[in-house]
Amino acid sequence: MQKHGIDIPFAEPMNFSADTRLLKILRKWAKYLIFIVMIISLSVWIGWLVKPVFFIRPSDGSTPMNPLTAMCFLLYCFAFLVFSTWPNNNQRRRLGVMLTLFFISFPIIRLGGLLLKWDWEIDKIFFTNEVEIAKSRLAASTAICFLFSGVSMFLSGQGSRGKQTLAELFAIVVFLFALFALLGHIYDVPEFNGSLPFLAMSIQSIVCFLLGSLSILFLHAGEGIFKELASTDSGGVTFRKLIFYALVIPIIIGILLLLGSWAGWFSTELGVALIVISVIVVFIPMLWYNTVLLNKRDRQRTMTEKKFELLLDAAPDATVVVNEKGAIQLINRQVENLFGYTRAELIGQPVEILIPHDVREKHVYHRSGFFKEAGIRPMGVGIELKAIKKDQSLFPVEISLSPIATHEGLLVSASIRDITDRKKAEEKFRSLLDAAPDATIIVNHKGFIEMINHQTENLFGYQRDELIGKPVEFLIPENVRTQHVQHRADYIKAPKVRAMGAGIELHAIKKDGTKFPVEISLSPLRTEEGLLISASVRDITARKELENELRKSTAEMEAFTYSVSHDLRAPLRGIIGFTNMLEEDYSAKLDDEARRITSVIKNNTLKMGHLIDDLLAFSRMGKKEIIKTKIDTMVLVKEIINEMSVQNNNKRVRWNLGSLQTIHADINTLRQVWINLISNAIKYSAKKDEQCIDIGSTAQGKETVFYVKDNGVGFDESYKHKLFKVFQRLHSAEEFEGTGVGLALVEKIISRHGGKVWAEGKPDEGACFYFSLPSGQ
Amino acid sequence: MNPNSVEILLVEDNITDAELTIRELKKHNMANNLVHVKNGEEALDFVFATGKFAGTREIQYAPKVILLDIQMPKINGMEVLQKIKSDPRTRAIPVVILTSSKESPDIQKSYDLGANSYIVKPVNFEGFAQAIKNLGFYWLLINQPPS
Repeated sequence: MQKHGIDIPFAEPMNFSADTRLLKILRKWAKYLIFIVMIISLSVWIGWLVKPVFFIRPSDGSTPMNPLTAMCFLLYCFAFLVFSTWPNNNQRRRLGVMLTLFFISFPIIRLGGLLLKWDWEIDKIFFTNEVEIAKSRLAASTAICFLFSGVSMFLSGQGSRGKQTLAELFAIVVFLFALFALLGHIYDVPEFNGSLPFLAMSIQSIVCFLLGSLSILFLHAGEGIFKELASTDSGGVTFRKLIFYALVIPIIIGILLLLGSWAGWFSTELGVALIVISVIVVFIPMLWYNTVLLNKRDRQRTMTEKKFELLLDAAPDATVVVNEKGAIQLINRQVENLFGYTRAELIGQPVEILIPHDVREKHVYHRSGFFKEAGIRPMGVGIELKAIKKDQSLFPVEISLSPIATHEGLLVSASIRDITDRKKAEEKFRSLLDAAPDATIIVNHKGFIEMINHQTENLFGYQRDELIGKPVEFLIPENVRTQHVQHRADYIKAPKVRAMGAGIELHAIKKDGTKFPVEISLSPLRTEEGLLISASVRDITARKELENELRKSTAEMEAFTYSVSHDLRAPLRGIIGFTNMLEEDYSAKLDDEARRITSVIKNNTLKMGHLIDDLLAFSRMGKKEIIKTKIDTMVLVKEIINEMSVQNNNKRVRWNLGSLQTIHADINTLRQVWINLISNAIKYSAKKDEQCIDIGSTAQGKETVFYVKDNGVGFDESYKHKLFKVFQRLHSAEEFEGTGVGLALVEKIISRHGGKVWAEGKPDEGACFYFSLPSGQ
Repeated sequence: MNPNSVEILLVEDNITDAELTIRELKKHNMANNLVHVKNGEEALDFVFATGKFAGTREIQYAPKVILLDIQMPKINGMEVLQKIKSDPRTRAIPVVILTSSKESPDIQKSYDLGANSYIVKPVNFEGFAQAIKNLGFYWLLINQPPS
């Protein structure tokens, strides 16, 4: 069976997680960024050591990074590296957590101090004097950022979507804090040094937090809310294309406008108006771009869906797409036609609505099994599958399944083919098979039984389903199975009709193990499912028994012939021998009449002897092998005539020999034919004054006809049907001696050569005997 | 008759045939040293000087020829032939199968077992008489027996 389902584009398992290549790049960058953070904080620390250097104060008047902050950043980096390098190692993770707790403990203490209005001055424990001079304090915003970063790092990468989302939110807050502080620096916001000092951060801290939170976000970008942003779908693509502009353009516009305002080109109010309009002007094209992209994607999808629907509708088979819960998601028009339901009646219904009531429960079980181990496959090979229509009528179907991976999980597309017509055709074929007189087995090219008829069940004693799908060697005796596989392979290579009884002794084996002789005919059937071989098997047990009986009776007959030959001849010899002794020893006492009587005894006994000899010759002829050789008939006939002439006391016979064709025949038996016919001709023409015998041959089609014609007593044609029968004579023994076996023997020999004998004759005008032999070899 | 100077051993269960055979041989004066036994057992006893012939004769004084019928009760001619021809002491004795059987398997089998001649007794008297006369002359006068 083949897969009948259509190959829909959806059938490829879809990547509905993020772009894996992108994620790999991001993971790499996360580490690069954290190294930059590490370098910055390390250089700040060195700066405090070597003092006063550029490291701690990039520009005059800017606040330097506090040494404690630098140390916290270093710890921060180590914690990050521990988390990112061993994401699944609990022991290492504990180390990361400890590092995290360590670096957030300082900001917590600092924050606590700020809140409680009591300064522990924990940020002055390193380089106390220098810090005092530089007025470098650990800012409240820095402390909050550390705290949030720590929480984010702790929550991130735990595999839980909620935790990841929370982690990402914390990281984003840190990022925005830093960005805000950066803007404060760039725009030189006066409040940062005045009323809102806790928002101010050193420029190094800003960079470190920006990079650090990006690292946190990048490391697990495939999870949480970033998953969508990193996806290959249109949303993700748009985001990645626009995010840079969304961040950079407003900042640049802000800088430009501030510069303009400071230069006194326009008032602050105009500046704000300009900012607003610029932002709008920039964002509208971005929105437009987004709209175009989404629309395009949408239209494409609609097209694809439409195409898919068209394809689905164009599929020759009814197709039902079902989700993991067994609910029908999609159907094509053929389903409506086939089952009689409308689309609305089926969508959302369990697929079991289309399955006969008695197997629904079992189907639910099979269905969940299929979802666990999905693969394209035909359903229920060798099992009769049935479906149920809206009107509750059942019909036979063939179903193939293919899984489709989608965003909504695994779907299964089932192609359903109504095979009622095929079943009917099969039914018709099967009833034809059942009507066949012989057991018929239909085997496919792999040697598996596809179909059997009723007679096969009767003959072998198996039920139909015990044989269907089994290798045909199942029915063959074990000792020839291997051989049969080879024979079968050879037959498949050159399949042709092979008639019954091609001279091979074959056996089959029944369910109960009985071996029996069979005759098998084979005929190849070319079908759309490939080559099938129909084998007709005939039980020939009865015939074999008959053959055996025949063989036995033939053997008995032979034994009988033997004893006839031996036992009947001995008493005859006794009769003649003792009559002779009588004649010899008592010759003086026997008168003429007594001598006549003894000679009659001897003659009759002799005749009986001849009769036995002829009978034996006749019966032996039946089993004698015919070995054909090329015979020069002319030489053979002349040889016989010479022998006859000697026996015949050289009585003058006028021989007319015509053309005598060379022939292929068995020399021993054919010689007997010629002897019998020629001696008959001599015998029956002996009373004529001038004996005249014609011998010749003519070619007639594929046969050669030989004849022996005499001018003797001839015969009455009304009795000619008796001429060639055993013991049938047309003349009395007084007229012409003979046993009535000679011509019967001729007939038997010629018929064994594949020829015919016949005769023509008229009383007192002679007779002509013909025999025909096939001309070829 | 001295049992050690037998010239012909006739093995024949059919007394009619035996009488005719002996009569023909007598006519030509060839039956003076003839022993007639009526079955295979007796034949073997004579040849191997066992049973009723034990002590009466010696094995090495072999007959000039054995005329052997095939169809006999108990031990048939074929078995007698086989025993004689498979024993080195008696192997050299000429054995002539003298039988009514024309069946070819018998002929072939006899020669395979080592028969020296195979003669089918004709039904007619003249033929029979001629055959017996000829074989007598041949084996007793013409043929040179092993010494």
